[in-house]
Amino acid sequence: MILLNGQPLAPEALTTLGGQSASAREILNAMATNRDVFAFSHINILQFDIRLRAALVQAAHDMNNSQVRFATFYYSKCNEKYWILTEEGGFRLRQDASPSAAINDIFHNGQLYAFECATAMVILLFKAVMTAIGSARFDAVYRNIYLWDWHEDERLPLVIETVADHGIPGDIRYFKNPQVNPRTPQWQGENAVELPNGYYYGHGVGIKKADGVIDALNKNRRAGATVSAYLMNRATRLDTARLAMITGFPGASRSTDRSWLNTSVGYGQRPFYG
Amino acid sequence: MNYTTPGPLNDVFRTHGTEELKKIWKKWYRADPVHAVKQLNEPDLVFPVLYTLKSDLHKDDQQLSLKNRLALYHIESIINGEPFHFPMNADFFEQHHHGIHCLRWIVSTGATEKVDEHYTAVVDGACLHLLHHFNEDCLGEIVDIIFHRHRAGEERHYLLSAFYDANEPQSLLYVARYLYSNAPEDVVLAKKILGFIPGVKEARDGRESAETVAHWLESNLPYLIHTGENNDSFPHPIPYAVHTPAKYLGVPIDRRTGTPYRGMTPIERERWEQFIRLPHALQVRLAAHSEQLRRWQRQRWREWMRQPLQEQIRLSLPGEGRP
Repeated sequence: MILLNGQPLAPEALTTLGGQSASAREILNAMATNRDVFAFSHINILQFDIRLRAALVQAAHDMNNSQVRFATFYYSKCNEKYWILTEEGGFRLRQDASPSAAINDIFHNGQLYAFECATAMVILLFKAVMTAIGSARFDAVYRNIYLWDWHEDERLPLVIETVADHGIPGDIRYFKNPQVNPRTPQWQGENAVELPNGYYYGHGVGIKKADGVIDALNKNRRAGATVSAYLMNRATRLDTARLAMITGFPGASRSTDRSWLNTSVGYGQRPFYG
Repeated sequence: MNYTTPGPLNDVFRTHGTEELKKIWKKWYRADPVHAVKQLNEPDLVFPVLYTLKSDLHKDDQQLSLKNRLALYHIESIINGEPFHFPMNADFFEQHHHGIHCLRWIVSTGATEKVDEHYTAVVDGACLHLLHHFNEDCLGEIVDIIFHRHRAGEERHYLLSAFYDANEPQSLLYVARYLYSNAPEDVVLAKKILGFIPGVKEARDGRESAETVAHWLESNLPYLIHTGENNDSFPHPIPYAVHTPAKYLGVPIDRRTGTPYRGMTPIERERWEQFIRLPHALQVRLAAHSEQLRRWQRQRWREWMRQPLQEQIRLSLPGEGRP
């Protein structure tokens, strides 16, 4: 369900907002038909959210088609023309490098890069923001970038929300492998971008339906494992309203109030007896 | 980490570095192979020395101690993905203890070094085997390594994941020790890991944060659910969540499944059904009140629990539940 200024979004608005983009229509439809509530205080913020999600989906396809490789943090590598490889396996933007050129280089010169799946998600988020706000604005806002794990960057605000119904394209989901073989800790789970039509992109596993991601993880469990990998019920999302303020996107002054959203559903809400 | 008992090779490693160590040991070996190997088999040898010399050693060399041979097998297993075969005929349970002894040696004498680009993975592998294959309690050591590497800006992702996934909430106290640290970066990391506990981030200082952690564990430990979230899955993981109905009823649960350790009475089930219909924020407050009353005034708690739910709310949380 989509709420705009506290009111359900009119069905005809869905057609207008979706426009010609199949990806945007899919995103809007997934929100509108969802039992989870997606609340926006301003139409511009909703449009920004759709634009970001569509850009994230496209970035996932682009990364899948690039030559980047998966590597554990021990063996990360990057193009040192743009990035400094750190001891913890992260990429720090060189001071004289253009942030947008450096992010684009990962997709264009993929053979020079290898990284873990959490780092991949942060790269995709930056790429989506760049697509949504344009390279010039991106270069002005993101002078310092550090790509490592889920490293926090206050200019890339993220929220983690419960997915009570189904995810939305552009969500970042996590497939957990609780009985991973300790010899291959990189298979402990897979961060994945939710794509249209039930597909997911995970760096290292490619584009697959949920069952395909789970099968790949299950092949890397310890001997005697009895618990399957599974899709966790929370999603990492860009905090679009805050991001709009940070990047100066129109409509940002009227930020979304997420505080009333029921994002802290408690555990044990189902009977724990038979 | 244990560097208090120096041996000749340990001294060379520490004072002259890896290249000099290789040269000197080769020189010793050429002069007197038995003596050179004996130096490696000294019980106070630190793991980085053996690791540095690995290309000059063979894992099936019978002159090497079993601990050293196991360590060489472990190194090859991590770096080359080769199977880890136990290098001698031994009772299965004996193998188990030899394995633990070797891996603990790697961790205790080698965790804070970095010899080459593979070394961190080898140490991490030892920690993960101890934790997941041998079910050895090494979370205190793992936390110390994580904080050491954080200060040094070195890789720690997989150890932190293993810490979260260990499903041992009391081990959060190992992290809480770093809230008292004089190093600001320690406090930052400790607060990041423990930040899911209400009040930790808002506390005025490290001591207050640490007390918040201890109090939270005292109040919630029997009612925690292990969520499976870790630093790999989310930027702000919540590894443990309070099962509010269990806390309200005072029924300890299995952290993995959320099932109670004992069957519930029909009255408890009915009360549970009523309780979960309350708004979540009210559940949290009522469960907290119930736990406090149960802990300090058990007889009063029993009387309170016999009251209808709305009466409990009226008595304990004035102002709640009214339209």
